[in-house]
Amino acid sequence: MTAEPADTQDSEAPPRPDPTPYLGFFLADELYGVPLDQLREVARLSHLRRVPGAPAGVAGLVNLRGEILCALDARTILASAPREHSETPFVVALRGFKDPIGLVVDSISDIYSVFPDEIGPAPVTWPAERAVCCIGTAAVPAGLMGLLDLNRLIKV
Amino acid sequence: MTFDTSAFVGKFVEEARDRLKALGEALLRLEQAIAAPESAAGAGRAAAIDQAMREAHSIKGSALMLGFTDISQVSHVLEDLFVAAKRGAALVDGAGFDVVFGAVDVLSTRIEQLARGQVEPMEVGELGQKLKALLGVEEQRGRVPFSTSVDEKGTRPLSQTPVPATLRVPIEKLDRLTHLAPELVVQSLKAFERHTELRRLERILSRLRDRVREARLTPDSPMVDRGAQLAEYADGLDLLTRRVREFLVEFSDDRVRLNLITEELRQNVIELTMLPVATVVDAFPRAVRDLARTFSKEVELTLRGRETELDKKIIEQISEPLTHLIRNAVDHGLETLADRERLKKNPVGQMVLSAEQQGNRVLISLRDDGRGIDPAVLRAAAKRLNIAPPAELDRWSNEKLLDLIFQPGFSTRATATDVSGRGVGMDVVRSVVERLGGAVRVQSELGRGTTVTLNLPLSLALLRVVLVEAGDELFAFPTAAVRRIINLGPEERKQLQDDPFLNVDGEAIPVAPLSMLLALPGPLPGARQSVLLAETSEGRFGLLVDAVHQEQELVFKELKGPLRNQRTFTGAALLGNGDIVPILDVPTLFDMVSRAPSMQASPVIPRRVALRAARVLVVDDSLVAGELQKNILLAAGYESDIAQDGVEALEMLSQKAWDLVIADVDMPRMNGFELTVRLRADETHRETPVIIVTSRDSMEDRRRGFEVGADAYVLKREFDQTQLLDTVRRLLGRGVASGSRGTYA
Repeated sequence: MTAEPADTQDSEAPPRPDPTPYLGFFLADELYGVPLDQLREVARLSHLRRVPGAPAGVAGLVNLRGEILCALDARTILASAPREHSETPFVVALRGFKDPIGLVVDSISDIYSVFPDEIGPAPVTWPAERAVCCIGTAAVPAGLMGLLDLNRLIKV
Repeated sequence: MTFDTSAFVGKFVEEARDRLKALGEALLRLEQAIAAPESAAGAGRAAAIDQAMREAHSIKGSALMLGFTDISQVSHVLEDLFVAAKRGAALVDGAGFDVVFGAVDVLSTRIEQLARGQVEPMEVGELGQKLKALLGVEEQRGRVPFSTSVDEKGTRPLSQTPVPATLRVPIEKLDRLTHLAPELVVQSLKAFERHTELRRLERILSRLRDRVREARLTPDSPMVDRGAQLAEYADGLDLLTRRVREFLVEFSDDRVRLNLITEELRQNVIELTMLPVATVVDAFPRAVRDLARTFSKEVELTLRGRETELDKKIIEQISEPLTHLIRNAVDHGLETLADRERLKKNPVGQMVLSAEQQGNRVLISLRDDGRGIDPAVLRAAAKRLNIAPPAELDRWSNEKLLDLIFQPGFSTRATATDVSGRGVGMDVVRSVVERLGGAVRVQSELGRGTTVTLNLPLSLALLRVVLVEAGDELFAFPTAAVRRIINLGPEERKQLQDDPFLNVDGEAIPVAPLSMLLALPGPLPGARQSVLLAETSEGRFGLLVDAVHQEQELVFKELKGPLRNQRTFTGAALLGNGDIVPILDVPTLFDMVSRAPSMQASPVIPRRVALRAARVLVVDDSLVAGELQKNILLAAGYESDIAQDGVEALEMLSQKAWDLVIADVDMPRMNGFELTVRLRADETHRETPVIIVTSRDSMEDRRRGFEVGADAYVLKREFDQTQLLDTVRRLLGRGVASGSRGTYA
């Protein structure tokens, strides 16, 4: 047992703020992250019911275990590249919003912890639609992840 | 009167007969007991009083509920008499008994009158006084708070002793619940089985683990056959994998089943709290009759949709606002007999109270054929009350003026009558309805009548729907609105294409294909199509669909999030197989069909939204027309929004860049021509293409449109979405910089 007091060391450097965990997902090869505390669940999208006359940005309705969820088309909202492969997409169900809502995404990457000081600006090459929906970007092992501002995104 | 209280009254008569008989018998026993020697009488006396008290109390309660105040008043005093007697007061002498027996006779006579359908109340004042006099003798010290005066019109609370709240539930609803209980037991047994299976799997797994550990600890030697060991483990793993897979299949079945049961249970429980509107409205025909007498008018109230069910909590609260509306209608809405005769109207004022479920809403409307509300009078009153600057009030639409009657303290009458001043209390109606999450709207036609509609929510309801197919997808259409389903032969189909009307009972009914309205692909050639003949309060219409499937009862779910504001669908529901089916909004479809110009419009296949959609601003004060155009544009991949009039359009144009403007001509505040002039005068919007969509088709109007600088002129009666979209595409395609103007569509 070492009886070295840890106090002195702690007071030297200001404590690094806690990281925020994000769920990373892909739209084609673009990586985006949803704050984990706003995530309800992730499910494979077996059947999407399109709604004629729905606003652009709404992919349709999804049956999530008996609940009807309005699924947003993340691709349209973020002006992302079209889908490349035809694998079953996923729906990322969100929580903390007035109405049950979800995002249709291509695939799930992983959970990444992002420290506030790791957040960088959105690339200038991004379309404006995408830039307004993100609080910034973070470099994670799978690539550069756009950190989504869901309050902005679901308004679209 | 079409209203039928006989079920209630009949029951009441039956019950009252029995109770009066029992009451008479109890009184006889009581009289005998009092006459008998003291010692022998005690027990019999108390029992007789108890019974008499119970019978009087029951009669009072039922009579109150049905509004037979004369009966309830008499039985109430009787009850009080028996209560006093129970406390030991020597009830009455011979003369007193005569009065009490007399009262029972009067009640019996009255019940027989009711049985013959005679509902007019009888005069009970004198009898009441006599009975009260008896009570007065008994209660000289006045210990019993006896507040009811028989002369008062029955306004006292239903009962002094609190009765626990109860709810009558049809057996059918309870049966459905009862059937769910065994299902739940089955599920619970299955869960137990799964648990046992999981333990077995765990045992197999740990045995296998032990064998592997053992093998690892055994040193290599010729005695040890590693190959055989591996083969054994592989077999073990095989077995495990198989069983886990089986387990998963069973478990997921269980989960689905349990979900279904839970959902059903939830619905059934909610349904228990649903009551038919009849609970409230059945009392109104009588109330109207009484009111009509007060005002020396003749009024007939027709009830429609009494069976429509509504949440019990809502039912309990709408009685008061509805009563208020009815009083208003009888007092102010309907003219006097003399006036009606002079106006050659039916001397008997007609009122219709109807309830109807539309999606997750219940619409309750009260229509009268009276004088209507004069917007000019409202405007004058608004000026007097300084509600807005006079110049502004002059520009207000009739709708906006009518809405004033819901403002607190707004009245167009100099003095409010005892029953209701027009407007007085309407604010209360609105606040009650809005508190329930509803809305109230008034429509009025001068000289023709007034309709007040309460639009109330139905948080959850089972909805009967017909499933129809259009563009290879299923949609649900509320059965309540379906009048007939007409199968079409090829000939009739072809005919419909040339002339989008169907002759039904001598009436030409507009028909439009659902696939066109929803901008879905049309049917394959040779498809057997049917027409769903539907009826709304506005009129009838036909919907051409590719197929009609079976009728179903679905659990209605509201559309939420960004879909909350669209009008084509009221909600959605889950089918048995888990698929989602959107539920069509009947009034919106009616509007779309009656506006759909012709069936020649080829179906527009919804395009994938381009990365950067062109923005089209629709300026129309009619929400439906605006919404229709907006939806067509959205479906075609444009971004679109609605401005209610020119002023709002200018506002929206200043906030965001719009690539094209579609404007109606007739609008409040600023019309389409003025808007175009303003745009052309504005540096930033000079080049924005403008399409005028209007019902005006005189040459002069066209010229006017041309003069103010509109780029195209589309007539509403020729309006079809292909034409609209073609025009939009043409104007957007040629680019905003191009100067070629004045092409008329």
